[in-house]
Amino acid sequence: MLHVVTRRLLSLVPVIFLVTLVAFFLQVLMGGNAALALAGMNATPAEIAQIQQQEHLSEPPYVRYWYWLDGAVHGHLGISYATQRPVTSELAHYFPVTASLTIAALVLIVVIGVPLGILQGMRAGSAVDKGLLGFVSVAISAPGFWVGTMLVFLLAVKVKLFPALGYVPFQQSPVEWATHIFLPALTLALGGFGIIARFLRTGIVGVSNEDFVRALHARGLSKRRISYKHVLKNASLSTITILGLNIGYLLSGAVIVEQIFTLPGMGTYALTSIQTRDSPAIEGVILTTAIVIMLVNLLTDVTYSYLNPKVRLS
Amino acid sequence: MTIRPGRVTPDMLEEEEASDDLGAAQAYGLRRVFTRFGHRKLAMAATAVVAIGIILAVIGPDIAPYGLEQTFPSYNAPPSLHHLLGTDSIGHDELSQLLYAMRSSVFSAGFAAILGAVVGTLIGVISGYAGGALDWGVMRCIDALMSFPGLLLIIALIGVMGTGLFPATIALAISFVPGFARLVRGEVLEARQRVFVAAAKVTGVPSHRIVRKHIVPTILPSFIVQLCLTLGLALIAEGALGFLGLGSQPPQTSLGQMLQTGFSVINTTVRLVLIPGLVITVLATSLNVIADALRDSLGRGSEVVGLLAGPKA
Repeated sequence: MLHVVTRRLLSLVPVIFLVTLVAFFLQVLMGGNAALALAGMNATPAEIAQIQQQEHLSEPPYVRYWYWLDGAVHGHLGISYATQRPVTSELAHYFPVTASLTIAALVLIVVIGVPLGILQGMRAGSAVDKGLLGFVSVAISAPGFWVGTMLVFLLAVKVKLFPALGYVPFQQSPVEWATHIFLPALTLALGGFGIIARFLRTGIVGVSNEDFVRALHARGLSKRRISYKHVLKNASLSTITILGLNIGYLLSGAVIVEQIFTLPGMGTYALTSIQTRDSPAIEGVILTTAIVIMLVNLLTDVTYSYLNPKVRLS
Repeated sequence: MTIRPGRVTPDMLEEEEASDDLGAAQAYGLRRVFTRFGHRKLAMAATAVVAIGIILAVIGPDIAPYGLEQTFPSYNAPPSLHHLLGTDSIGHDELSQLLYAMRSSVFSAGFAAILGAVVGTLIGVISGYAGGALDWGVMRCIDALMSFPGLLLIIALIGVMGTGLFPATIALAISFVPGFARLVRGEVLEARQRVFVAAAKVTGVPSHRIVRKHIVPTILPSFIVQLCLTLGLALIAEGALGFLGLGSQPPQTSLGQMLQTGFSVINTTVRLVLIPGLVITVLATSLNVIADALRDSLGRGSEVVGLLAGPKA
């Protein structure tokens, strides 16, 4: 097990290096006069020169990359041009919102998608399965953010069941947090549960047709026992992988969902940073999310090899 | 294809290319695919929907009842005989806006998907066929690009290029490259193992000919399925970018931009969000149905890559 984790961690090193390279050079391409932005509107030329000196801004890009990488390794991602505050502390402010949104969405995806997939897989070919198949196909294809805006209209504007806007931190009030996060999380989950349902259904149908399942039937095991202990266990393997791969897609979706519900998360931060051409901030957002995705992928791989000894041994 | 034993030379393969044998075999394969595809009513209906969508996108502005920037004193007006879909929050005729928007969105999505597919495929074929250090390097770059959440990468690219329909299209295309490169590389690696490729190599057929005559036809089915899925994704992603205000800018319009302007008045006029969203959903769903049917008719294709590679939201 340890061997798998170490090998996967080592293989991440070149990828992380490339990620930092891409993130940094996007900033360079974005341009803008960093010294002027940091010094403020009324800065004297001497002050600008001093900041230029201090932040190594007159050095060539590859030297600046080195300074930036050195800082990033030590947890300093530079100073935001827009707010003059360290990007790291800005990220610490925005990240929990996106994280709680994404985790809540993942929970909803499992809660909606898994029963749907099991229902379809166990009754493959029935009318229920066919009806749900159409529903799931539309759910996979429909733009989640559009369905989300419709939900806002129905559940927040028309019925006033949930608040339409804003965010309350979990530490402040768990109940308020839940009511505020429910609609955004549901919006985000709407695009993802269909994929889980479909993969679980395909998995169940595939495993049900295998020889060992037929052998279990022949041995006279109860249908229930076969379904839950043998078929589902094997079918869930690919579903776990898909759930892990979903994270990147959820973080993309979060950018839009945060705009619909005006949540102060990473997506909102990235968008305002684009508008103010605040390149250290954008770079910070990209780097953080990329690392989160890589770690989740690693976790998925490790879980998978834990559940499937065949992968572990090869 | 007739079997001519004992005389396998590059010249012979040259001959075969010119002869009708190979062409007939390919046509038979294609015809079979079309027949299988045609038996699926849902897939045919979806094809019709997409065809109508493309036709409307091409001729839309010509049949639009009013001009793109023409405004009327009544804004947010309900549908009437003068304005079949009513007017929007600025006083534009909604139907005309929709027709103009379909042109920008469909063309932008199509261009982005095709450009991304072509560049990604080139990278995938070269990387997969060359192998070795080049392949390793290219794949690590692809890994790095794929570790960014699609939409954030697109936003950062738009930050570099500026907002607008064209930069958004290019950014979308770039975001599709890694998915195609990875898929195609995998298929090329598989195709390389096939006996006929090895045979061609042994007989001294040059690499570029092997790629063109043997590798490309082998990977074509997966490619077409992936392209179809990507087209649907591109349409949705264009909608998302427009919604975020990063795509086309006024006075131009796109489906995403219509969603954005409509969202600001959702409390009073839900129709302005409903209509453009419905168009995106119907077109994207149809493209997915077509991709599914094609995958079954062709008997190959990858589902995971298509659904997760892009910035669907």
